[in-house]
Amino acid sequence: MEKIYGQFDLETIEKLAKIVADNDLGEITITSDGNKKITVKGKKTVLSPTMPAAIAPAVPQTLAVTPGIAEKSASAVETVSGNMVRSPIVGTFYAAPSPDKPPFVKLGDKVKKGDVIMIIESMKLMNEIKSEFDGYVKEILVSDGQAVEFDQPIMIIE
Amino acid sequence: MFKKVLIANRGEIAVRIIRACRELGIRCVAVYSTADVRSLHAQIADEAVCIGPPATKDSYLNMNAVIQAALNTGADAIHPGFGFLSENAEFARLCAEYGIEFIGPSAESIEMLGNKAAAKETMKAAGVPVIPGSEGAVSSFEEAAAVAEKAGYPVLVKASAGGGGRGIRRVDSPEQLEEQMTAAMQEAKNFFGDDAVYIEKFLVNPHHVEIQIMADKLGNYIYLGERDCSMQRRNQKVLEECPSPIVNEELRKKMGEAAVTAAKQCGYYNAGTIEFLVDENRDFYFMEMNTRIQVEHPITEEVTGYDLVKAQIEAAAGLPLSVKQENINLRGHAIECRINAENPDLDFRPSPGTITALYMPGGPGIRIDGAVYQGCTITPFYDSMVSKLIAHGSDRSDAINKMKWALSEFIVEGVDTNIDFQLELIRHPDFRNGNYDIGFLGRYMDEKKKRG
Repeated sequence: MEKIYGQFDLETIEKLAKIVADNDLGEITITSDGNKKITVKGKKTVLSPTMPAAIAPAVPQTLAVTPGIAEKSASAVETVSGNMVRSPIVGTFYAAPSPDKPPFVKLGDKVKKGDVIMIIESMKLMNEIKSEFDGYVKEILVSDGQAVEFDQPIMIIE
Repeated sequence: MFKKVLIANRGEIAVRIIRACRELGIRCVAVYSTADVRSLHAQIADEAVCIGPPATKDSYLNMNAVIQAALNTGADAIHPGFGFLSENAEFARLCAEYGIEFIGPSAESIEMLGNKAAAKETMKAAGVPVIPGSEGAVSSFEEAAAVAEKAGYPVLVKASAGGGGRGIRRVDSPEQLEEQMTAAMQEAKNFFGDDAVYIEKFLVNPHHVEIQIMADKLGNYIYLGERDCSMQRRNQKVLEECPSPIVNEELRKKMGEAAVTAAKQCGYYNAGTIEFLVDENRDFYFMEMNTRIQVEHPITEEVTGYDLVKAQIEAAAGLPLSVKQENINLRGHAIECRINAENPDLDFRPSPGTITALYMPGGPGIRIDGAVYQGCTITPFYDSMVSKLIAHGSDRSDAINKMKWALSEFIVEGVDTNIDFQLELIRHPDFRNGNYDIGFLGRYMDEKKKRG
């Protein structure tokens, strides 16, 4: 989750946030001058009215749904249809049991509650993550081998 | 030097460490719980990783999540701040196992100094004064009388298995010893099922005076004056000052050298604080050593002009100390008031909520180490300290005057704070005269309650 503070101007970030929000995109990434890169993750970013706006979009869009905290943001974030599968731990996402095997699930696959749908490696341990829902894989939001944080959206099952 | 430091903490100390990293040109990674998504440290760091739900055991105390976050982001060092994992030897070892530098002392130092009995023995062996008393439990009145005579009355008879103030008796003269010791043993047996008691010298109206030390990994040590932390309520420090109103140049040198001796004895490196009790005869006794940066470190920084957090990072990277003892001079006087979201009229009950309006004072000699902003929410999950207000003046009275106007200007709305309470303390004639010991605040609160 690269932060962009100090590297991109406010206007660029706001434009990106708007594009993401208006089109309900998962995320958008642009690159310039080779090493400058910015990713804005979607599901409608809410700019905090009191914090400098330049850094607000960099807040990970995995807002707490804890009662009493950030209720406003939570309601704005949960606008996707289907069930969101989130990472239960900090680690690395793997789509398949090993590099030479097919992935546990692909887009459109039917899954049942209890099916293993991914592995999150953490502290050298492979944690098999099971689906809590019956349905079809509507979206996979991270790529194989990507570092993920706690509560990060991984898949949508509908 | 490190390329990227992960800060395994939150709140104002995380922000303080991020600022030090910025000055050293090191990228920094914040970790945060889902309750802290909007907290300042998570927003101003170069990168931020969510490591768990609000409960500290699942997030800020979750060693595996913190290490994994460091691995994911490629951080080559971890600064633990204070509290949380800062004095956890197992965590320091885990960092080493994964090739990550722990910014602090060795796991062995943390372990040894974390064990109060072992630490006391080590200090005694190094010639650092410890509170006189018996070596373990006393088996007879005769033995107790001999120990008490040697330590000097008044003494305390304390239950070996004790705690919570039970099984403790004060003895002012040899005539009272047998009666009080019998009572303590009886109480110890009733409460703890064990009548073993030991004898310890009772210090009359002591001050809590701590010495800041800093050491590199090459065997260089310095001490950076003292902090007086006698203004405490139920062992929680409320305000601190540097230098102490009861320490003169001669005592400072004696205590500083004892602190360095203590640190050397354990092969200690990085920042550390040795806490002493100083009694009315200006005799000092080792209490414990804190193996981390402390909340009240800014007053030492203001008075010495030495940046302790940057020094911690440099020392962890293997660099030698940038200054020598003879370059450390105390300049003026600094006071820190801890600003907490709590209600002093309701027994200091924490007051979580959203800060609806905020004005923080500035101006000559004022420093604020904080992590709050207007609109931010103080959650009930973590401690209630929202800010540290530090005033640095040319002398003690100048620092007090600065603190007075700064506290008066400080505005926080939406949550209760102890700002007015701090103002009461700063204005109290006994504080102004430097006439307060570790019992002051307890007595003050009792009087206040009586007055209604």
